Amino acid sequence: MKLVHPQVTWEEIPQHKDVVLQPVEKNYKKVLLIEWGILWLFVYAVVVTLILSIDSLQSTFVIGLSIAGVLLLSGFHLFAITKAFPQMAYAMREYDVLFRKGWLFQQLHIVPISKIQHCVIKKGPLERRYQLASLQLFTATNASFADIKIGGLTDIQAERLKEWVLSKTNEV
Amino acid sequence: MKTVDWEKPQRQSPIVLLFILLEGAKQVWPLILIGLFRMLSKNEGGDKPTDSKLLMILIGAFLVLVLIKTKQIIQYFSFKFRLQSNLLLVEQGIFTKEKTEIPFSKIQAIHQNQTFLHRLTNTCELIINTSGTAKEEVTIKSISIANAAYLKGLLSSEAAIEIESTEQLVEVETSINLTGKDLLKLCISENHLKTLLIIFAFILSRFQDLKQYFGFDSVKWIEQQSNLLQATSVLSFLILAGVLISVVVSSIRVVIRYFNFSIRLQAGQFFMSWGLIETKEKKIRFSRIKLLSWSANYVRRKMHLYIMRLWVMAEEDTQRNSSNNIPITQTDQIQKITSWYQPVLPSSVAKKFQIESAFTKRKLLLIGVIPAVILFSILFYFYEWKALLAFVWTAYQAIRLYIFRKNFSIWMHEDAIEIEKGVWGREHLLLNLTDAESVTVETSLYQRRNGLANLRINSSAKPLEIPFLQKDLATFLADYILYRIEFYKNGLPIYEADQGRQNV
Repeated sequence: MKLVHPQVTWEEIPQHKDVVLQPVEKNYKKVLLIEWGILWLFVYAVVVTLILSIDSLQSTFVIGLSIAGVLLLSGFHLFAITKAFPQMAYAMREYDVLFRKGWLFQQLHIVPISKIQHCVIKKGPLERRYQLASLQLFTATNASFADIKIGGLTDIQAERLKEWVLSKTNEV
Repeated sequence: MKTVDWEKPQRQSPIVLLFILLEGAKQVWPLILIGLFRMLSKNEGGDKPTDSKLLMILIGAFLVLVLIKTKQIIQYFSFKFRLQSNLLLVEQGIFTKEKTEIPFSKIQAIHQNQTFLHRLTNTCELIINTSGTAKEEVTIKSISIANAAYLKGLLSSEAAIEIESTEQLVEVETSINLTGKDLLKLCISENHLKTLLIIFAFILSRFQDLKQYFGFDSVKWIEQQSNLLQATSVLSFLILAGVLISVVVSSIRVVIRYFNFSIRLQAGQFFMSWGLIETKEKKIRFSRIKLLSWSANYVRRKMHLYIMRLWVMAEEDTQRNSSNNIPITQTDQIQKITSWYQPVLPSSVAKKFQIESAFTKRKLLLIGVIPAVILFSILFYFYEWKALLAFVWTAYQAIRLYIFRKNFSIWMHEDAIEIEKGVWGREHLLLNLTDAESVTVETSLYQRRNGLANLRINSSAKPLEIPFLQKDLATFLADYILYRIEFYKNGLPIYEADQGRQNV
């Protein structure tokens, strides 16, 4: 038997920067904004309750500081969501899945399909309302959270992507 | 036996509900007891509690129990599993629906547990693990023994479960034994300061207990004693005693851990044995080791002593104890042990590259300058110009970060990556590229403006983080690692797949 070992040049190594990433569903922004609203409504309620129930907090300085603080934080959070949303995008290549997210700190996560152990489709109440789902891909990385969580997929996209990943996993 | 159609959604055995209630009862029984006791004591002089009152308490307790365990009860009703071709499908959740799909081929282990209650009800718990997460992927809390046996057989028919076989022992390949002198060196170089702090924290917590149980104010007592101990001689004696105790305690820990330590590399496995009072043995298959690291504190580095760690796949943090540690007393032992994992160490053949100097400047600003300025602004109000001492922190961080960046070295050849890092001590990490699970390229706003990026190589052991690389270099490394994972199988290139990848 003749053994071959052809040389590989740097140019032959596939480059992920050439991949065109696909943005997530626009409706997902609504889900993120509603989640933002619920979170900050809760925070506002806690702050107001604390101010009303503790006498020592009922000074103009404390009230002003609390309102300014909460407004600033919630405003920054909203700004961050708006800036980060367009960055959320994913792509599949024959041998891996890519997912980009984040604005201040941007992450591009690439998971080889051969390393995927299992997948989970998650649908929260808000996601269900907009017929959305998120697909989580798990590798053997020692963590209790998924390697990639692609949020903002439609139900059908999530199912198709999952089927595709699983069929590829079985192939390799 | 009733035949089960595994393609239809199956529930766990209803015995689970009993388990949930019993578990709840275990949590609330003191409250029930207190309630009963208070009711009885209230009625000591008056009426005796009626049966209806007792019944009300019991019903109330039961309702509280159900309320506490609502989540688990809902989980029981929403949890369904079934088999479909070569997949195990699990659906759970009411509000947030979760659907897990596990290919049989990815199942790493199936554990069957049986508690006393399981035995009484002729059921068992079935835990199915892939290496996907640190916790169990699927736990069927109660399933009949017969069904469990059938399911286990079916799942493991294609699972990647390692079956312990009675391999014929081959000749010993490498053997390392620890001598008395080595043990002494390990005792001397142990981190005694850490031991001293642990002892101090332990003593302090015991003193707190004294106050709690006996009303003895230990903090006040320590203050009184410290007032009496103003004399320098007494103080220095106490410091010396503390140091001596910590040396003795840490030496005892080392002796217990490494006495009679030996390691053999035989038939594709590490065989380790050690122990002072009882001999412990452990064997680790080469195939389960996914990362190697060896580290030394400042003293150990000067004495050429290292502790090597074998990072085993899918080991939980709680399992990551020191039992996978190997003391290295001669530098050539590193090569002996690493050679089976990676025959050629990247540091011995490849050119070293380092992280960018922007790392020091940026980190210094974030953790050295900004906190010191904030601290100075607060302290200035109380201590005026003495508050400038806050900038000692900045100076310390500047030195620490400068040394850290200078020492951070990366070597990579076509098969593996090696990292050396540390400020006073050193840590080496060695990862075969095919053992990487995924890669992440991270950039902050500052890094994006300056063409920099962090690279994280995720492995099933622990991630390798390389901060502040040139962005082009980081993306190239990520691409190359992916190429090695995706285009190689069992260490050999898949030439058929070498037609390049296409976007889907």
